[in-house]
Amino acid sequence: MPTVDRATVTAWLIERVAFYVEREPADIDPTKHLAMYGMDSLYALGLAGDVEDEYGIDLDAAIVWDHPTIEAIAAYVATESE
Amino acid sequence: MPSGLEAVLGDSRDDGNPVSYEEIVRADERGELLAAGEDALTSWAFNAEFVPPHLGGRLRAADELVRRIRPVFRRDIGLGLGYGVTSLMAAVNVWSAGTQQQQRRAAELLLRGDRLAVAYHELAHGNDFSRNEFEARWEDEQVRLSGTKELINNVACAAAFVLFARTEQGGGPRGHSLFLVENDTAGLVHLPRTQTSGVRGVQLGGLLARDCAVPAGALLGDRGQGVETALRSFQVTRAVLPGLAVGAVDTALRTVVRFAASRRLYGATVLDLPHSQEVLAGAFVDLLVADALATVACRGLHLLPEQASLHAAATKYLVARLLTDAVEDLAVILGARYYLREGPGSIFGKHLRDLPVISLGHAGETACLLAIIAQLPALSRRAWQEPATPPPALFDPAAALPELTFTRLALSSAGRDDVTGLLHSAAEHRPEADIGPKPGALVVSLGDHLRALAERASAIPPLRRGPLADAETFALAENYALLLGAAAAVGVWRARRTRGDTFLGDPRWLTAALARLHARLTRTTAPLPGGTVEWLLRELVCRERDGLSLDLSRTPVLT
Repeated sequence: MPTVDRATVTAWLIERVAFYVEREPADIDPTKHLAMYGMDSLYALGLAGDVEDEYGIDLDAAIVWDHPTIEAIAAYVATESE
Repeated sequence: MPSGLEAVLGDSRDDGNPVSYEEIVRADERGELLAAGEDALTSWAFNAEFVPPHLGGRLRAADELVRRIRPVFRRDIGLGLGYGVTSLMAAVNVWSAGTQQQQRRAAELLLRGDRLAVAYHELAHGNDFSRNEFEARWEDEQVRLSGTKELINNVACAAAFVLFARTEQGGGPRGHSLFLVENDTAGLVHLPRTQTSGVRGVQLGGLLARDCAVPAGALLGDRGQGVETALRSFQVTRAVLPGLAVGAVDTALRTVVRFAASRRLYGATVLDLPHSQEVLAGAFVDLLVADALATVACRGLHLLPEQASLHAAATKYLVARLLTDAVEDLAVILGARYYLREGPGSIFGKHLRDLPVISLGHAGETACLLAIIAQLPALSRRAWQEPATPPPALFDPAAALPELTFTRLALSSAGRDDVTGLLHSAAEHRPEADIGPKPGALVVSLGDHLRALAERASAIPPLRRGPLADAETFALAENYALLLGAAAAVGVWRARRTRGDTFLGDPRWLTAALARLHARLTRTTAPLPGGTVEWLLRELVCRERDGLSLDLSRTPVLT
């Protein structure tokens, strides 16, 4: 598995979150709590599935709950893919 | 000869039996659980069914648990829930997340005949429990509780309860924790009982805490783990409860068969009338499908725990739907009698009133469908296009199961579903020769519906993948449940055919089952396929006459 770059993951996650909450990527702040954008605990299931598809790492929804910002998820994904 | 709990509860139609239908209905009228029924369950050490063997109990396989305690649900859903299953709903949280000491304490209470309550519910938030407000905060070496819980079964009489409380100000998925709280804690106030339209003997009440102190050791699992533990534990009860409801509908159907055989109208018995025959046969098939699905969901907890969040939610939704519809259809045959609260048919009316609690309790229809909806897009990408080969033991209650491991129950199936794709594998190899022409064609069509579901699920707009889902998206989740039900029926039929079962291995019940699921899927009504009504009715009448259960297990009953 090639190592994924944290900045790339961040940019990709911003796109995904913008898609889910139907807003512009420019409006999404990666340091803010996802709940602020209306990402409900149920949406974490979808986001976890997207990360698995894109980066091929197993990600339970609970991990998204433990890393509730885009930055935190990106850091987790980058570490896991090393 | 009937054995186990069936023998303990005895002949329900014998008025000399203290646990007869007559006494059960009378206690229900009084708004009480039948004391003689509670005594009978105590004599059998009913609570031991909910305690794992290493803690001194008899809890092994989930589907075995269902079959062992189904006798009480054939007689009285209120007694089954009020005496026992509420304790199971609490206990699974302790088996899943508790320390050894907490597990020993819960086991000790249960084995000495005490009850556990499960204090999750707040009226203001319903199934949206990550917004619950009952609060717990740490102060020195203690936890202080403040808030109100409502509609908590057995809250007044339980020895202890599992409490779901907010532990972070904002709430959310990591903002709540579970606690195992002794009910005699100083400062807890029990609120007055709430009356209900069904299960009238069940003691629903409320709990009020005003800055009430409990030891820090009451925390169950980690801080912030409440929602997660609840979602894992619910998978067990979402699989088990539907299987128990099958027992009540067994009795409802049996009661109507008896009535139809004895009642003469228009110069014949009601049983001779084609419409009654069609309704009875249809209800019988739906009961078998419900049991097939409940069996698969329960065995899936052991065999496919990573996918249980999906299968248990679909089972809780569809089984409740199939059974309530079946009972409503059967009420038409009873005519005005279904409305009577006394006489031989009154147990039917009681089951009709009680059954909705199974679909409402702890995860309503909407909550179950939402749990499926959130998973649909990932499933459409990864599953459903290709044939699947589920483990054969999933469909065969005689096969051994690995132990239930709570930590393997995942919050989402992450796009995996090893059951529904069975429709494709069944369709692959000349299904007309393997299954027979009629069910073969149905299996092929159902497989096409599964592919269509995958296509439509991949196109669900992002905002519709959560609580803002629209009717069209809910319909996709319902379709999924119907296709899972069809796969369960195919799997059970195959397993029974291999074992040489002359009834469940026969393609006729499968044809009828798939035709009815197919009709629901296409939102149409269709008569049962030719030749199946008479054949199903013959089996149904024989089982009633011979005192055999109407579910998959065909076991001796005294109902």
